[in-house]
Amino acid sequence: MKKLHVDIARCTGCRSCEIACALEHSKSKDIIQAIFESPLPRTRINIVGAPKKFYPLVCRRCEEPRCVDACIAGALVKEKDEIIFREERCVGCHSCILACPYSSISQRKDYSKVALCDLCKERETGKRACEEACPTRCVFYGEDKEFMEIINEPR
Amino acid sequence: MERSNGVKKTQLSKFKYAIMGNSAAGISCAETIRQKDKRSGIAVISDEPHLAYARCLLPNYIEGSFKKEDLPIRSADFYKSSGIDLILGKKVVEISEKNKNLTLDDKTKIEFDNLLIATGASPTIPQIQGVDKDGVLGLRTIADAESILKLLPSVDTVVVLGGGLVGTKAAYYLGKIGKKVKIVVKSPHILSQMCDARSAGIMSKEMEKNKIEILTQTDIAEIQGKEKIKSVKLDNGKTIDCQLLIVAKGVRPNMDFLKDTSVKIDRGIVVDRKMQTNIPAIYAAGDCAQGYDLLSGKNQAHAMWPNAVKQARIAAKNMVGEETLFEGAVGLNSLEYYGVAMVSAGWFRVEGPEYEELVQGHSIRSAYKKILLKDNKIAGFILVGDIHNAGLYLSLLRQKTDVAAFKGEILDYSFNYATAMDYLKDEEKSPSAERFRTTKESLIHEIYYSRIGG
Repeated sequence: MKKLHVDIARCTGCRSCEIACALEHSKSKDIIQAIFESPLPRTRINIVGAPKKFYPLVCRRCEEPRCVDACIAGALVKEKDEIIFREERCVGCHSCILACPYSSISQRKDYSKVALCDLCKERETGKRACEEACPTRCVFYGEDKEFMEIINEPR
Repeated sequence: MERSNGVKKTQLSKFKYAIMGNSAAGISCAETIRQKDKRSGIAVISDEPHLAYARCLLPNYIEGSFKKEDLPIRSADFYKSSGIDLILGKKVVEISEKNKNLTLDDKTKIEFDNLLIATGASPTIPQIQGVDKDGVLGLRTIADAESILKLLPSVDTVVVLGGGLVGTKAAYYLGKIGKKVKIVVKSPHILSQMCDARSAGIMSKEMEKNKIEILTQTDIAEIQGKEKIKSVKLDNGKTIDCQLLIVAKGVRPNMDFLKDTSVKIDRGIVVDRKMQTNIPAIYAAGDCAQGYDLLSGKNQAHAMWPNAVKQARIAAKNMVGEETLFEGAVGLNSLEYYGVAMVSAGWFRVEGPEYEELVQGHSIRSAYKKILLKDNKIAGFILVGDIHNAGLYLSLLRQKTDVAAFKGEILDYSFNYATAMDYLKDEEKSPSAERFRTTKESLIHEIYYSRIGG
């Protein structure tokens, strides 16, 4: 299954991916206007820090997603091997945030519904917003095997 | 025993898998079986006339943000395309574990090789004088919700008996649509099964700010009125005029149909870690089951949606021959009222020298965090406001991780999945996580610090 992978060695913690993701999920797609949107657009990828490294929290597209099990509203479902988030059904109970072991689902500011990576399916360029924005090409979208080949390439 | 196109033809039917119940557990089991066994017959029997629906959305349905047609979590098409025989509006009146069949209330007999009992639970009705009057309702089924909706136009004041999740949710949504709401709760604070006094206090304040009256350490002594409820008399003598009383005092597993069988029941249907009852072909999952509790190691009934889904999946795997053990249920709760989120898991009301409480609170931001440690392992936690680490704490709890090394930082905002990753086992394979673990420092760190030193 194709999903987002991150090469930690390359991550500088610049958060360009966060800005790009939030913009991609805004109404205006313009950075100045987006700040004034309500609800405030929220990134689905989140950079957290550890000693000497950064880690972008991404959805792992689990085989047996705990978030789907937890969703009481039928907003998070698994259809044909894909995890789909139907925002209109979300009631903001946050059961999914409690369930996800990898902190992949985001709480939003002044807005009950949650945010989860949708792999930019609607995007015209065919590449994820975070993938394109990353200046060190740390974010990769593809199969596990392809990613492992890339990171094992001699530098 | 072949899979059907959804049309049941005869009075006597034989299925490899029969499932009593069409909610979280029933659907999870049926789906999992079908993923692994594409051919055998699966029957799902429900005493309700509806497609599988999200029971927890009933308060939203009453409030109006969800319409009745939005409630189902699976379409009619789902049953047809999965080859699942859906039998609606029928009650099981008899189960013969010897002959491996069950009898419905219309005399139909269904033979099975494997049976899952996922009949859920029903609201506990307290023995109060007048409890059988019109206008006294639970909030568990669509039928309950529709009865409430029918009454609402003539309702000014609602009394909610019970301050748990169902009670407070009902109160919250009824308050939102302009009804006067009073919550009557026996405990010293609302949500006593979910959180401690301080966090309950944060929620109570929000409710009271929004004109919901909360009467603690109070019970209802009598329900007054002719055929319809007119008022309730409290145990302190006070009377409250009301036109609707919602009873939300917990639920009791549905298992009366087992009384003439040898299936072992206690406070629920007793199951082992394979979700099997004492009868090999009979399994149970969800609100009706009393299964393995992760923290205590004992059997306990847990009435929670995610638990039902997981238990049913384990039952399904064992039914198709894939031996799997249930990791154990953990009490889980989460809600948001008036923009204030609260999640909790595990235990929080225990005392003793092996327990330690870590607390952090901000009175201004309605933020409060508490972790209960037992021998330096997370036994429970409550988060109010900022809940972003809820999943991480739950992982640490489930994996019984020793947190002594980061006890001092664990409640900080900056504590995160990456800092805890060395102490956690990945249950889902992730090349990115492995890359993180094997990378000692990021390139930028290496380059930058090699230039400036240190």
